[in-house]
Amino acid sequence: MTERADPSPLVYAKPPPKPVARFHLSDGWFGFLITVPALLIMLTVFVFPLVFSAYTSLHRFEITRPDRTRFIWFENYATILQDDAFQRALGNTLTYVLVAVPIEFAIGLILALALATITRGRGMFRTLLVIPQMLAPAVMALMWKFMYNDELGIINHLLREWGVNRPPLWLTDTPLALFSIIIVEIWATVPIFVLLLLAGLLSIPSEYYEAAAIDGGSAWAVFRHVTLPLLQPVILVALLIRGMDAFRVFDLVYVLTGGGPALRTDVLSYYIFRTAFTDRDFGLASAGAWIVSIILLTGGLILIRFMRRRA
Amino acid sequence: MKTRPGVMALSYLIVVAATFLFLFPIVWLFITSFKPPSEVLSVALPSRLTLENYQTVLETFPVGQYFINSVLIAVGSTLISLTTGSLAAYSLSLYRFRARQPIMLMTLLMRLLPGVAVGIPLFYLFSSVRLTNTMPGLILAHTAIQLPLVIWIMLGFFEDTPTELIQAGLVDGCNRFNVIYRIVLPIVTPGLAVGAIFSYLLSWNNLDLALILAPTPRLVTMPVGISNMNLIYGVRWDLMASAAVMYIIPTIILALLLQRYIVRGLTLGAVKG
Repeated sequence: MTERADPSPLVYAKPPPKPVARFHLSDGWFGFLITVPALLIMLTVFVFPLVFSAYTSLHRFEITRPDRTRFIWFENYATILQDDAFQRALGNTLTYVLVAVPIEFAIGLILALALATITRGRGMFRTLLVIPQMLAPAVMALMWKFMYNDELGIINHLLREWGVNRPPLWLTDTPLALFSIIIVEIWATVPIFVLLLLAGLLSIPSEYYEAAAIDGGSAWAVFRHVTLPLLQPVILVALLIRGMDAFRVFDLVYVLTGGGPALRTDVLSYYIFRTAFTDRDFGLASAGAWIVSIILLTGGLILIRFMRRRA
Repeated sequence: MKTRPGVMALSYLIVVAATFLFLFPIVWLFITSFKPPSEVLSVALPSRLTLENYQTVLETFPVGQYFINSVLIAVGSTLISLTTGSLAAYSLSLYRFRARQPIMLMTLLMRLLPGVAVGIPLFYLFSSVRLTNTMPGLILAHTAIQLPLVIWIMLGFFEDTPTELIQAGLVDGCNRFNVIYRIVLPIVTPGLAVGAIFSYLLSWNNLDLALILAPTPRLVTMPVGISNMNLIYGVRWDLMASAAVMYIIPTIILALLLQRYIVRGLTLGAVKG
């Protein structure tokens, strides 16, 4: 092979004439070919199963009796949407997202502003805050389950010392249990908001603040008219991404309550999991999974459109 | 802009209090794991620190096996997703072809879907090709969830690589593979490290796919093992704490190595940090 035989359009505005008798792969094809290994894995192990589950969701399906599978149109979707347990799981999931994410954002913003203000040790605090959210959700759930424990947990121990006679049973009192999981979610996710918002805050050029100072704006006015508008894209992306992550919650619920007490902390992912592997109803579970997926894909497309418009 | 001393003091107070609150559960887990067994039932600081719990948990539970399973699956899937994913990212950042936009869109949307939505059909499909309850099956499944992350992290790093260098390489007579190997790889080595750590942690922390695709005791991973211990032996918090500490120490080390790049990984390149 001659050294010059492989000219690239990247280099020459007008490619020199190609050697005639030699196979030449255009840059476009070369580019596509080297994505093929990754593409194959994603298509076979991720996309194809999803498509397959769309097919499953239109069938009555029994995993032990494949011969009894039959096509039933959208009956599974109709069944699941009327199912009380599904509706409760949907309600719980929405509560979970709508309570957790705004609180995470508010605490995250306050902390990010505090971190942006301090002059010493910012790097150290940031490093320390990185740790909690990298842990496996299963372990987060485990250590909080231990702290929530009535006899052995530190939370109720402290509450008793401070004079609360009957501290709450965090994970077994019905209205409370869902919010106890939300507390863990908030604990796990605030650091993410802090990191994102801090990165956004630190990227605001100081000239803006200097100009605002010359104009004599109050601290609140500067925050309201300088910081917030400039931070807005980061805020929207963070809210959307974290909202969708919270919508998929599974691990925390699985370890903390297993959906209990009496399925009062059931969420969509956990409902689908139970339907597939406890009730063994793959058709119904697939229908549920598709409803969740469609909601999340819609959110994702909104996010992408928003990011495109900004770019 | 000058900050008033009151605001500064308040900021420090908030930061220190928050850091304490956010790290306390982890510290408490460590303390519990070093408690002597006789003090497990008291909610207090231990009178002495001991490794007894670690010894007991390693003797009574196959925690060592869980750990090895998790390491093998995480390393295996990371190797595959890093090689294939960074090649794909290199292509997506440098070349323009018709499938480019659809592939980028697909990887972005893949990250959003819940594990159970993929896990359930995958369980069924894997059963028909005898991949359920096998290590390769689990590795493959984890590779699929790591790929979008690797691709988007690496895209960021490749876009920071000056194209002049690549062009110079082509002019000097490297072919396109040689350019990757000799010029691009040395430049993006830090990026590869970041991608590797993120995808390692994604597999290391994954509960749902491991739970669905490999329920056999032989293949139990750390997160599955620990949550099962919790279901079966709900009272032995001391043992669970020591197993959990063994599980999270690698995470903490990797998180500290990674902290400069963490914003990029969290948002799939949506917000550059």
